[in-house]
Amino acid sequence: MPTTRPGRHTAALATFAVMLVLTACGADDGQGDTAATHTPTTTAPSAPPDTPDASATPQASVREIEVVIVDGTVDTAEDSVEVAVGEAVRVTVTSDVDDEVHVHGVDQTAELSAGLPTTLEFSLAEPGVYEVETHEGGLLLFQLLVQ
Amino acid sequence: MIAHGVGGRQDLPIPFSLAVTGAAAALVVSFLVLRMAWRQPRFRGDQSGRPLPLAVSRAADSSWTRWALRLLGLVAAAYVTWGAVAGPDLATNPTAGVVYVLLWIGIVPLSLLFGPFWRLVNPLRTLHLLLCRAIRLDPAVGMRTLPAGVGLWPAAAGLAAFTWLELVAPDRATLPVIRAWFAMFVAVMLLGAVVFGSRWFDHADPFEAYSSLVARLSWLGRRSDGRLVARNPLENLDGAPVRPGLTATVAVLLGSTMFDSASASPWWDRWVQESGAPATLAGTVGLLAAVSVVYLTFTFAVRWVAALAGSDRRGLSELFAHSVVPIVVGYVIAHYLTLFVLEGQRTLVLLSDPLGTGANWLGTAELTENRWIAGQPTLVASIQVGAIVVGHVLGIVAAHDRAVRLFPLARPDCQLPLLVVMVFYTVGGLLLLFAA
Repeated sequence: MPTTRPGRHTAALATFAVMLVLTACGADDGQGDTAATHTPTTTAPSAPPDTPDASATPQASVREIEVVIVDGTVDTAEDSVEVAVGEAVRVTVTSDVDDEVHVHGVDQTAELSAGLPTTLEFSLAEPGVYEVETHEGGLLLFQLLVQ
Repeated sequence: MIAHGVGGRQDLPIPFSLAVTGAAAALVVSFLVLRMAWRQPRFRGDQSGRPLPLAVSRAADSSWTRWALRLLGLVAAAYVTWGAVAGPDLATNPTAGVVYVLLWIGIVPLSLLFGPFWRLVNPLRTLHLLLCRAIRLDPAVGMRTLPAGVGLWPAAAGLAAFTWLELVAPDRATLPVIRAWFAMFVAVMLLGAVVFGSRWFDHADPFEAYSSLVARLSWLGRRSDGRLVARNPLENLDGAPVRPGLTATVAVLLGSTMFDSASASPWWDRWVQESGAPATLAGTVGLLAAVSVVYLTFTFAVRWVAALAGSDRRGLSELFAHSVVPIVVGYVIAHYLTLFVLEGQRTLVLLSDPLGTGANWLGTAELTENRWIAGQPTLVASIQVGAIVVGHVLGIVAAHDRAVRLFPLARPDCQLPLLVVMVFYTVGGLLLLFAA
């Protein structure tokens, strides 16, 4: 046993570890499905929405997300929202102060006027995690998990 | 997230099955090493390696090469400083990308490829050297000698200060903040060099310390007789100089990366928002806590190992701290690979126009960024887990060899506490990739 060189030992161990990891990857291909089975959740905003209600339209592929900001506190159904690549996302934000809402990582920004719901509609072309936040208040509204 | 403002998208969480498999692999391999690996020390540190051709060694060490590299560092630093001072404070200014992506993350791949390169290009070292030449002083001789116990402690403090800037400081991607930090940094470095001589950089420059540590995992090394050699990275790592403050240095590097991914998660944001604490205070406390946890768990584990081995030697943690370096590198690859590829390219494009005048000075303004990696979440997740697990295995092996050298008579089971702590770092890293 002491004839083996340390380099070979280590290489064998590392290869073994990598193989274990790679085997696991092969088993996990169904990542994208989780987003599809997820039913869109909509919370009733405390302020009356001025925007037309999109749930009446048959276009089910638009993901609706509503956020209400009161006294610097974020009220939203989920901290992390899973969407598919290219899926339309419609974010409606109602803030009690003037601010700016911003999807970090893509050029998506909208002005927020106090008390008025503002809608931001977009889709994301690359998988990843994107933060939706306010600029002035520096609040994280939620994360978008695009996969 | 790194410097909020540099980089928009983050990697998707890794699948749970992958996290579990990674953790299981780390655990299994750890016990295999403990049970089955060699019982006689194998690594010979700086004695080891196959010499590169003499011509290569001579060319690399020639004063022409050295001055060319110094000049390169000086010119690059001057160019970036110019953009940082005269350029507009907009997202299109390359400064933040240069500092947080090209320099801070780029140190790792460059040191793995070329060894401790930052010593050779460090613009502050060159400035000090030129200054000393101008007034005919020996740059190595300062006004005082550095006390013996100082070691890497100043560098650890410098790394903590930089990671604070990178991860916590308010408006850290904006020019005034970056300028202020670097103004203080340059002052401390140059004053220190005037007082203690150029050795100050070896002890205090955080970028040199980082580069020199990561370079210990390079294929390239320098033998005790000064010859450049190609060697097994583990032999290279074994030769890492043991200095006071080494444990603190690796603790800052590992703890800050842990904090980076923890603080990018929605639960951290939510927790800070709900606690009502100012974000800077919460971030500072969080960063210090992460670094302290690594430092305390590691020193405690080493003390326990020593006790089991029947040794009462003090300062043993510095003798084992090199084994954390592969774990740090694994974390860095896992957390920053896509950011480095995507933002690195973006920064290269922006670098051609530091003043925002539509210029194309470096000829990179027209480059199209290759965003292929952003569309490969499964590949990225595998690389992330692979990097963390391989880093863990290399760390375990390095620690094992050091343990059998230091405690030749002790049973291998005495390494168990250290092994458990390393598994804890690895599982923690995987958990952060899964949950953040």
